[in-house]
Amino acid sequence: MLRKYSHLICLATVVGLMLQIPPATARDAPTRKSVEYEIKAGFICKFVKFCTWPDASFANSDAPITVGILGFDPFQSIIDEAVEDLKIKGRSFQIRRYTPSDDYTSCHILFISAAEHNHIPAIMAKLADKPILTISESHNFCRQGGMINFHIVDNKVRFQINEKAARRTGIEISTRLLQIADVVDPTR
Amino acid sequence: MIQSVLDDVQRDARTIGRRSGRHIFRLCAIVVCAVAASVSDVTPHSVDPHDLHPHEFPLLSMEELLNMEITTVSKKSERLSDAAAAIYVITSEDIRRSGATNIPQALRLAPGLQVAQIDANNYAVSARGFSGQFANKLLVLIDGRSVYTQTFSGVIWGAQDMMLQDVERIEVIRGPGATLWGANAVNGVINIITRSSRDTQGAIITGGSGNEEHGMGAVRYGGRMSNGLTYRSYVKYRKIDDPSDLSGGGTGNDWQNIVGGFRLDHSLDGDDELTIQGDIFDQDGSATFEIPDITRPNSIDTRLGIEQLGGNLLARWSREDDDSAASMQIYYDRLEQTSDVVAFSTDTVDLEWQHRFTLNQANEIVWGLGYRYINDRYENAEGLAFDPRTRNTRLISAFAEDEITVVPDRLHLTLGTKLEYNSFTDFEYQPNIRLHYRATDRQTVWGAVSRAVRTPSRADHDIIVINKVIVPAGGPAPVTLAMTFGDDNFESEELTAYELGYRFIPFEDLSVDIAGFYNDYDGLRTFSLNPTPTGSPANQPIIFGAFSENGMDGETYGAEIAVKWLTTQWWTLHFSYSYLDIQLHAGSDLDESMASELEGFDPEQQWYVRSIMNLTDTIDLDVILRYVDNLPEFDIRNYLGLDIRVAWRLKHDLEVAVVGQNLLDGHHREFDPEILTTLESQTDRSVYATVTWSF
Repeated sequence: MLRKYSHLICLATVVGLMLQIPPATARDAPTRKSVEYEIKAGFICKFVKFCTWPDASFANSDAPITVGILGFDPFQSIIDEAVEDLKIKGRSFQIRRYTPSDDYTSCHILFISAAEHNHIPAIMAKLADKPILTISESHNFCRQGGMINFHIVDNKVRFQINEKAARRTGIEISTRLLQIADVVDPTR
Repeated sequence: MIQSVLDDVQRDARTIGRRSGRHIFRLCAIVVCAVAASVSDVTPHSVDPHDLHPHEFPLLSMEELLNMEITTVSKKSERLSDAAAAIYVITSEDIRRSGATNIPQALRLAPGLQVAQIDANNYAVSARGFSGQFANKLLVLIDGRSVYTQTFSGVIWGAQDMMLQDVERIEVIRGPGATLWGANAVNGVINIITRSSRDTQGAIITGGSGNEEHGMGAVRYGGRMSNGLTYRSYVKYRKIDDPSDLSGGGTGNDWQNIVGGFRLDHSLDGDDELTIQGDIFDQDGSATFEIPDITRPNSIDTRLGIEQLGGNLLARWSREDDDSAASMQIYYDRLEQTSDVVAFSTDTVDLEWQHRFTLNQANEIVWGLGYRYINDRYENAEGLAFDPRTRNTRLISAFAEDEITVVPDRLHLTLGTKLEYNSFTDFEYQPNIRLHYRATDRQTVWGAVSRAVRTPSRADHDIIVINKVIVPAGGPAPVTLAMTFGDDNFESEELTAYELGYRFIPFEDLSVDIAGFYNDYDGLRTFSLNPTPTGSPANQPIIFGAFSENGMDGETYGAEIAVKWLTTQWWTLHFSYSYLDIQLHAGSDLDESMASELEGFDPEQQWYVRSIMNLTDTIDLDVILRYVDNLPEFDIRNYLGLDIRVAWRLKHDLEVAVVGQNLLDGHHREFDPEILTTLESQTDRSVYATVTWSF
């Protein structure tokens, strides 16, 4: 037993001594968070620039764009901060958060939480081709009738677009946006 | 360092899981990206996203957003490729595509693990040698709950069934992990981590049947009570055929198992997270035991029923912000076995605290405290008893580890130790020192020296077993009994491990991970024979007693290689090879024969080739070919195992899969039972089909 303690004391001394050594030039404490959702919030706002809703979608020419978040909200306060004081095409933004039982059919952009991925067909049925730009980040979203789906490629945010689904509801997506997206055609 | 890396993976998986249903793909992608990021981090970006406020992102150009990396010089890019340990992660996608029907089968995917089926529901699983039904040098945790039994020191794999669809990942660490995880993490640690209920929303119904898998079915439902509070519950049933005996006939060792459970996750305000989860299971079956009987010659084979009942309840609170994380966990676990051969029950209560914080730019500290209380009770039976029958044991532990950034992004040093007090051997210390060096952007080298102990089990101290009854030929009594006794003087088995690893990325799509080790063991368990048999003048039996003692030293050395090659978007290949050499030395002749026997418990060489192919968007084809070397101790010949899985997604929510396991032979032996010998079994060729509907 005493032998064990002597080991322990030696070890403690060695560890203690090593900790005394000042660490060599440390510059940058590597504790930074991901900016995945800052980037995604940025994209969501930018999409407004490249999409045209039918005129009937807005009460008037400076009515705000309503962005809905359905289900679990991965953005937390990020998206609220992103749209603060932001105006695109002369419109400001407002954020709404919905649970699946709410009526979420009166917004312009609907971000569907990945946690709802099992309910996408039901959500799509409820939206019934209303001119709402649907965005999610779940596998197969575009094949299930969704319009824009985020995914990560090489540590960067990319998105797929199902242009036909958008056009069916009267939303026009500019070719500039289509050029930088992976276009998905579910009928093929 | 390992803990910090794993924590990061866990944290990221959690945040990412919270954000995406595709987190499996995402996790893989991030690991790959992390490697890619480490390759590309020499080229600075014009905009560092971390310096921006959220409101600035919509003002960036499309190109800037597209080129922005999610993580830069962050903890995230330091994950698995930066661990100073031999780590392999089996993802849920790996499990799904392997066709595994239980955890041990899934573990066959980890390079360098020895996984062998003993009978219908018992497996021998170990890392870097010393495998066995009671492989005592591998620690296994499920969501932070230890499933290593103090009783026999080992894992009762049959009792660890769960809904495999809900497993997020299995982290397999080869080599000691005792500084963080404590005693018995000698040769390796397996962490099985289930998904948050946030990521298992909706229902899954799955059912299947086959020639060996007589029936399996599971139902899970996950829902949400409010925005931050999610839950799931599940039930799973499995009935398995008895394996073949050595002549190909039946062993009568069939089993059925039912397990159910729940999990609640509550994301409180800010960064707090509360998890409550529990499981309960009941499995029963029958097996053939050799029961010694002192009134009859030798032992008799008896077929007996066994039932195991168990359950656990766990609560965990965790909190996390930019530069610190803390968690507190408490669990209760019960295991009960009823049978005529051995009946026992074990109750465990465990309390754990862990805290990680950034002390300054160069030091990140993680420390923790733990307390465990175990109470067990044995029903003594013919041929097997414990003295005392019931015992309370305690384990008090503390650890601290400092991860020191010596040269930022290049050289990291980790120092730490665990201190434990246990009821069998009092104080134990288990330090380690680890160094990680990123030599170039595509190459990293790591090394570690660590000490770990395998603390005595209840059996090592208190067991009494009759191994054999010898009745003298032709005469009346006295009979002779060969017996094994535990010994209170039995101390911990000790290991000093030296490890070296190298990871490199020769091409963008190819990664190679090599680890080598030299393990030096002291005081391994042997049994000393009492030289003079104790007997008595009357017709009492003469007893030859063998007592547990720390009579053996030894060394093992070996290497493991894992290669992953993303050949195309739709085809991934994995390759692994491992080599293991065990040299044991004992003082006495008797121990020497025991030493050479133990050397033959593990395959010297193993390899596998695994192909994961997405034939179309809806059809998967997965093939694993694996080789396991012979086991000299059991005269088990080397074998090749071939598993094939074909899955077809009829609709996005409906999948049909056909799986063939061990297709190359009708049946083969993998391992033999050790004590309470049941019949030797063979693993049969198994073909089954499943249908999975998720909605």
